[in-house]
Amino acid sequence: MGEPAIVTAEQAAYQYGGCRDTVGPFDLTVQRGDFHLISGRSGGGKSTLARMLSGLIPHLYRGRFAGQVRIEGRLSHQVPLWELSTCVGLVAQNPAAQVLASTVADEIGFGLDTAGFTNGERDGRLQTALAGFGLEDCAERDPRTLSGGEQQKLMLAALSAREPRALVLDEPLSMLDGAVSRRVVDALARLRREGTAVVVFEHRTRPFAPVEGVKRLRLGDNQRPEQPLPELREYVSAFRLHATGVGVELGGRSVLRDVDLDLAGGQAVAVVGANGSGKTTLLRALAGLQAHQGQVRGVGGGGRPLLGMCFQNADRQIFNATVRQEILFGLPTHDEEFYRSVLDLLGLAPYEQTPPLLLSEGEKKRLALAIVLLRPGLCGVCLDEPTLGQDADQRRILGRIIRRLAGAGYLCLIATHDLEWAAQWSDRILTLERGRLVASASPRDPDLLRPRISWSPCHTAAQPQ
Amino acid sequence: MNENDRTTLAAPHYLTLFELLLLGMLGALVVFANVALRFPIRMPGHSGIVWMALLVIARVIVPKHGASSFAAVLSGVLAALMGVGDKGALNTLLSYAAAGVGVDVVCALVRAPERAAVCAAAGAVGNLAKLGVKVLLELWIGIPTGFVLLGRVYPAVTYTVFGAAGGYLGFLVLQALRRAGFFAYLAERR
Amino acid sequence: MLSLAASLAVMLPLGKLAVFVSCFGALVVAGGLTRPVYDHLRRIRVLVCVLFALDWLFIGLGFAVLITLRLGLLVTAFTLLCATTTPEEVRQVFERCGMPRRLAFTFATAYRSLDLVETEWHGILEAQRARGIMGPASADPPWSGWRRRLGDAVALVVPAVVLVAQRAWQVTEAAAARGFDAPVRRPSVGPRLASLDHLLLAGTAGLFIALYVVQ
Repeated sequence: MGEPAIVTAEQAAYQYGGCRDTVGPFDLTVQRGDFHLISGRSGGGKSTLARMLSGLIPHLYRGRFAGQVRIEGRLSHQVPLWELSTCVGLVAQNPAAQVLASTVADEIGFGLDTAGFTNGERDGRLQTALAGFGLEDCAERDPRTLSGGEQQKLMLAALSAREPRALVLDEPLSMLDGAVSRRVVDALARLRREGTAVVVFEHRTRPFAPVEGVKRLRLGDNQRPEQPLPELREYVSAFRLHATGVGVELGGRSVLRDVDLDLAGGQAVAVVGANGSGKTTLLRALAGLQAHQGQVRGVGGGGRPLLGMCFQNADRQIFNATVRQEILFGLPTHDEEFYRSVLDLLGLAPYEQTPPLLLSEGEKKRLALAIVLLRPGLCGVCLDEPTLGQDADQRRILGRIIRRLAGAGYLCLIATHDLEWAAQWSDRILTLERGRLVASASPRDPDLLRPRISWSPCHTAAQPQ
Repeated sequence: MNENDRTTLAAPHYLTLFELLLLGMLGALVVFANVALRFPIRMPGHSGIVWMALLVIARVIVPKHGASSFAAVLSGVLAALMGVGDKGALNTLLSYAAAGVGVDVVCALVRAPERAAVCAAAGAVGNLAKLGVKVLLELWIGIPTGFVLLGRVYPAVTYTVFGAAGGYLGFLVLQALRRAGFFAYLAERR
Repeated sequence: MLSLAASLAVMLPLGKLAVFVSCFGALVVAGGLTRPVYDHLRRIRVLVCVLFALDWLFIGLGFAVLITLRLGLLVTAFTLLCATTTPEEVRQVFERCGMPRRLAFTFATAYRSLDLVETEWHGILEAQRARGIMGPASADPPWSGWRRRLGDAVALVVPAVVLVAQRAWQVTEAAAARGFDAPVRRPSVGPRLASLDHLLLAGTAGLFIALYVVQ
């Protein structure tokens, strides 16, 4: 008879309130030394299962919980959550949102203070965690000043310092680029070697290829047949946009310098570059949201073409009762046929009468795009990292939407780390480096994939499961 | 589908951690609004428009007695530490706290506070309570009553009006939050 | 301690109040806190001048000086505390004084969220302006203009409340995942008092006793 399981889920299911579907049922057994990699499409239940395995469901959630989850043999809903957390630790999706303390050392100490260690043990574990994750030099730093990768390592250090028997991670790589992802995966593999069972929910599976003995599981439906996207008739007349000497200074620092562009409607243009290269600033300048030097004008009369910025966080705009009201808010008149076309293109038609706050994250991103598209006189859209955190299916759908919009005459500007996505779906790729435009290439340019700057693509192509 | 056994789930605390953090962060929003938002209105008590709106919202989305007071006291401590307010930290702390207590008192007197008239009344009383604190502090240090009260008739009117406007704005925001699905979001969480 | 003493000292008679204010002023200068105290007093200069003039005119010079000193002391009483104490230290003191950790943690989280609130607010403003919200009032009739402004305010406050609630939930989950409500907890260390702090405490207590008790 083997060692008893750390966590077992037997037909575990959860039903959220409102009009959302039931998630589950799931069966899973986690034993010492396991490394589980659970993938699935966005909205497939990964986060829900992660919360069930760690006990947050049902302790913090009021929905209907069915089946059983046992942690160290005891039913999760019969044991206090603080006690469950000593056995199973959860690292949620966004590390920046999990910061609880003012310094790195205090962040790690936060969990140690509640775990019942003596002072000596506590200080020893703190030092071990700092050293183990290479955080000694930043012990007194504010966690908010760390990079995304460092914050993720900090969260791993904070949870693993409590020495849980199992660690559950909800999309730990979603905000990280390729090189940093590999370091995080190495840290997880090391934790597994040291005796902690690891359960990772992640739609990016390639970074885990070097890890031995990974048990893979896919949640949700098998790959659903892709729905055909409706064609959009040509809504935007042909136009050209010239940008000359565009530059932006922020905080005394030159973020963008002497950028010259010649763009046309009907194109999908990807803007790529490392963090801090000026991608977002360029899009904001072209959309008229950022004061800049230089000139942006339309060619052939008609004034400066209107480009709408599609904001990453749609929650900053939501305040109406239905999706329809949200999209049409503030418009004295609108073209109902065009509105219907946009709804169909973005897959929002089934949710037209749904309260926007009840949409999933992917649906909210598309709602943000719909809000932009309905602006009168719009000639183009700017999207900032739209593929971030999206699974392969969602990235493919986004690519197809971009192609439809370009086909309708819009200029689509997309800032992204994802060079492979950009190569597949765009007509041109602009490369920024330290605020300067260093290259403008066709996706079929053989030089494109040769690394010319110190960054690496973060997303992977769809992986066979 | 069976209901889970809730024998060990009941939290013994009056306010859950989520409710405490929600009120605390709404308190931070009150402080931010007071510091960062500047209205083109030069009448006493005008800041009560946003201030009272947020305190009324806090009281309704955390439907427990004392919720608004907690948010207000916390915002008062934060504001005092940040040097907000013309008449010193003590005045800032006490006047912020009084505003929250005023809202709580009105909401405690009615069964359903999420009504336009109740929210407006709560806002008016809360904003007036702020003015009341300033008056009491001036009386405490010995400024003659006549001097204190002489200059307060006009502010009493404007504080009431702006407080009521703030409470009404809070009501409109609550209606929009409810329609947008926010209360369903809250209802799912402990 | 000094701030509390200052706020209570406002009730002293003129002679003792003058002594206290002199000692308080000396501490402010010695501590290099002249600037924040001056800034606070400068904000109420008009009120002080008007009050001083009216008191002198209708009651007398002594009374005018008394009220002015009391008002100045009240306004600056807690300036010392706020200028020399970080919110993190305030949290530690709260915990050392027996405040439940949940409340102290809430206070610290609220303070740290001020930056986030500001960032989100600017993001909301920008995103909603892009939709024509908060645009110029232009030729709206007065009543319609106020209705539109009320609607604009709703369009700004709703997302702000939603984002604040989402953040509060994320912190709740993170804290729960690290055993926040565990009954056994290592006590907070709290700020350490230097010898100067002890001297200040003793000096304040002594001054207070001298002024209140000694006739």
